Amino acid sequence: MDFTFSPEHIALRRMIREFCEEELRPRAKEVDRTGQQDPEVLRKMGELGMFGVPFSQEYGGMGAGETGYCILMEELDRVCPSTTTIVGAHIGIGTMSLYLDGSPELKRKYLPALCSGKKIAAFALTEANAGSDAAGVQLRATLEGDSYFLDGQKMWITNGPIADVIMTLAVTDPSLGARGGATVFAVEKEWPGFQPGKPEKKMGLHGSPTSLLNFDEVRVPKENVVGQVGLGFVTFMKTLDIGRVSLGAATVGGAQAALDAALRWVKVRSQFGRLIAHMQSIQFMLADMAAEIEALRSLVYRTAWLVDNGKPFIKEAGMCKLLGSEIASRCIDRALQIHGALGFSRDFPLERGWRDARIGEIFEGTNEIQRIVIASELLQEVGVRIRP
Amino acid sequence: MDFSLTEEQQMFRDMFRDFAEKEIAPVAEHADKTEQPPVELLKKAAAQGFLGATIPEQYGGAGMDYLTYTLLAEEIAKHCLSTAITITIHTMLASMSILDAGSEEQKQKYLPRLAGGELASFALTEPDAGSDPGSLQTRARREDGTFYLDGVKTWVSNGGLAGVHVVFASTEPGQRHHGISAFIVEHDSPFVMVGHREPTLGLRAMDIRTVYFEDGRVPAENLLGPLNGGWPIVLRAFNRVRLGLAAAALGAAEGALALGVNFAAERKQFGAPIAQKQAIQNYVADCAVEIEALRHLVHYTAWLADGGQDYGRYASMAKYLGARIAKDTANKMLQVHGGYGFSDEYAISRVYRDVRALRLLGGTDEIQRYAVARGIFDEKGLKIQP
Amino acid sequence: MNILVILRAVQDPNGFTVNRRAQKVFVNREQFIINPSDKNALEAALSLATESDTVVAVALGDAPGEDALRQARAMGAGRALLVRDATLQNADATVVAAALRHLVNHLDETKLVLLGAEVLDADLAQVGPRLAAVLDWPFIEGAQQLEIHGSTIAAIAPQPDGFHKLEADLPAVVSVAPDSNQPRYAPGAKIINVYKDKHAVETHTPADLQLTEADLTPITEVRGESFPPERELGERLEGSPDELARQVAEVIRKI
Repeated sequence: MDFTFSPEHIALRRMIREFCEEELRPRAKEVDRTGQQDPEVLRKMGELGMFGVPFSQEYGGMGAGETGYCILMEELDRVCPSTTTIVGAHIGIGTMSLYLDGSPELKRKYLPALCSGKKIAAFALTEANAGSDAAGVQLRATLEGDSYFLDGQKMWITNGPIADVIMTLAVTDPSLGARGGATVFAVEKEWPGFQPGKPEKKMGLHGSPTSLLNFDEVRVPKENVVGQVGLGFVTFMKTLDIGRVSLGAATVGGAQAALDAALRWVKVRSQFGRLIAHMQSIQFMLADMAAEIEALRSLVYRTAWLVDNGKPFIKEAGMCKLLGSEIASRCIDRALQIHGALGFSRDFPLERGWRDARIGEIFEGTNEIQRIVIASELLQEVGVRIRP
Repeated sequence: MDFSLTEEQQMFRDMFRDFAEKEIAPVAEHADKTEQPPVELLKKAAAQGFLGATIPEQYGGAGMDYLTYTLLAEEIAKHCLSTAITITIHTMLASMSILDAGSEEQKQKYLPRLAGGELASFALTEPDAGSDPGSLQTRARREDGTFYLDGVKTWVSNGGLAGVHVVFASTEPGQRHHGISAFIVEHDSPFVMVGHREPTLGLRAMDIRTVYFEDGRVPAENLLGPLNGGWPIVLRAFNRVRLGLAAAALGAAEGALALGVNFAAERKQFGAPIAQKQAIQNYVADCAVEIEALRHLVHYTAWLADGGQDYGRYASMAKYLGARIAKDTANKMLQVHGGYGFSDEYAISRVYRDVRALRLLGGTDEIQRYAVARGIFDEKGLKIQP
Repeated sequence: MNILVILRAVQDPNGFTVNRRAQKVFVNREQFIINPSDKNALEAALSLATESDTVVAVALGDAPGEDALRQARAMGAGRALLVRDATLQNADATVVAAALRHLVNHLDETKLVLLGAEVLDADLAQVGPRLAAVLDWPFIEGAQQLEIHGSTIAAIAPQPDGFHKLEADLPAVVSVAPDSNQPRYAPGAKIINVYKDKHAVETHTPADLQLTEADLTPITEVRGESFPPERELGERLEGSPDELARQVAEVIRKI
């Protein structure tokens, strides 16, 4: 077993880290305050290929695989979770669904612009009545001649306010419902009838715009069906499965950033006549953080290896997201506690990371759903099929 | 053992609950979003006698016992932890220190004002004196029978709203805890300057500030307690505030649980309310169990305090446990809300942010653990160090 | 035409801590970076190069040098040359100048050699002037805002009495001032492709370049390292602004 990253992945990480330190870190506080990332920064990221990391160079991607994409997400989350979320929704689920199941023509039509960041993607699944119960989708797509007409509403869509191409799951056959009667469409934001709502006000990830999407008889040409009519739910579930790996990678970065902050603080803060680095309670907290992060890192990059080598990974991907989000929350919380009152102050970055991290246990499949996914895989291996 | 509340305590509790539901609940979200302390609400609370809670009636207070106070903090905290803590710091830390250590003149002069609604603060913390308040940089030098107070206090709750500050300063530098004295300082003294208001993660409806004391004259009659006798005042104040914060934690946890239970009963997924899912049931049950255990520890601690018994160790236990349970309950109930838990439109994320403070103020978790362990080993004749 | 850029791989200063009391340097993480002002030199080269120019990145030594060269290729250098020899990693300026002279002759059609004006480790700033001397080319030190017009190069450079615009006929050697530009990031796809390409870096041995033993023999010998002496406590001056000015003038006059 070779546990080293390849030279190209090491070099890629170094470039991304430099970029994150120089361009993203100084702006992170402002992004949280204003709710917007600087478009110039996003443009630079696009030029460097950061919006197409896992996708093949044939379609304008970086060709760095799932491992390269995990490296990107880890490095971004060390510095600015809001930016990580924009990129994650764009690459990990938005563009990914097109990449996995789109026809070569459809991929050629959109992937180059998506990979260069000239266009931003979103993944529109959730509705008011379809959260964890994703099969409860009701947005309707009616076929008339050469086009489908999409009507209904999506909610809580990451990148909703800024996306150019929205991969949307709609019901094409109500009698079959989601399983067998739903289809994925690539919808362009300029098409009449499509209207994103105002950005939602959230506890954290202020710089990641999220909104509802209104579809008022939006005309979508037949060519924009992604994959096969009726099999959209399968496409979307497959996409969510693979999306989890990189979410786990992001949490490695977030947790590591917390540990790094704590290490910097314990070196300088004294109470009771000595540096708090010399207190056992503090030492044990640091050790617990480091141990959890190490275990998570191994899990994540091994799972990325499974993906890059064409092996089954659904169970492990669920574990990456489940453990990653919980470990990141724990580590960030410990780092906040180590900083005492300063951790509670908005003049210091700890509380921002703390607010940003909480959604990790909820989005892209709550941790309850992850447990169901993992249990489902386990029980399948012993011959029992379960329903949520 | 009689576990029931007296009739008087039940009456008080019903009054507190009523007030909290009618007056506090409607303004809590707004106060948090605008980060404006609910000054009108505090005036109404004062009119009800809440700000004079445990102050004897002869000084204008409501003459409540500690148990009744915990019921007050609990009921308020169910809706607004910021308000509960504002009142707890005003009463348990500041006003009660004047009752505890003040001369008759000082009690007559200040307690009626504080019971009537003028807020007080407890200025102890400094940039280098957080968990370890032993070595204070704020100095009070003595000259010609008067004191000159000079220094900076940080994280002063109610700092910008208080009319009266109870300030701790070093009167004997080098003596650490044994050289600390307490002073009563009027806010409108020319040398008192409020500075930066802390922008905080939670408790955004509290006024938490840096306060400067710029070499100002404090008359000798404003020395609170004996010269160099400030530390025992601090320790007794810590015990009281830990009890109060434990009660606030209990209320916050109950408030969070109610939000989660209501959501789970309404939100339908997979064809039924999510309350039908075992995972949700487990979260609710676990929180309910812990809340019950916490309630009894808080009441027991209050009973010890009301009986004049040593209750410091229990106050630390209750505060430590309460902070953890409030966190766990808010966290689990936020999870029950799913994506809505992350939205500013739903109250649960405010509760989640607010309760994070409980593990830090009034003595961090680490300090409480140390206090409990120290008490236990002390009984064996072994002195442990922090 | 070739524009040569000399890259030195140095230890990342973030990877070590200096403890004055113990008189020791603790290496916490050994990793190498491109000497920062060499990166500025590379950026200058990439900006100056026209369609008919090739930016050739050059390094001496071993693995750290090779990695520096791959980074340069990913940033846009057309070629990368490594003179592979472990002893070249820490050779003195005369050996480095000799090796580079042979390299320049080997390449021909080189119109410009750029390098950083400062090196993070044992920096004597001698490579530039020595190379220019053995090539008999003009040398500009500490240059910013480089411009090529026909067969001349112009730059702003510090002189004893301030910054001046200097010009030199090409071919020339120019050392580039640190922080004088913003080195570009290497696009991700280029990084992936360059690092996967076994042939991205061309390797030569000293023998390939006809370097003699004399060329490779340093004229200096490192006998030891020590910390500089402790800084002495300064003198605090007090008084009115006029008095202070008078006192400061006295101090300066004495220097």
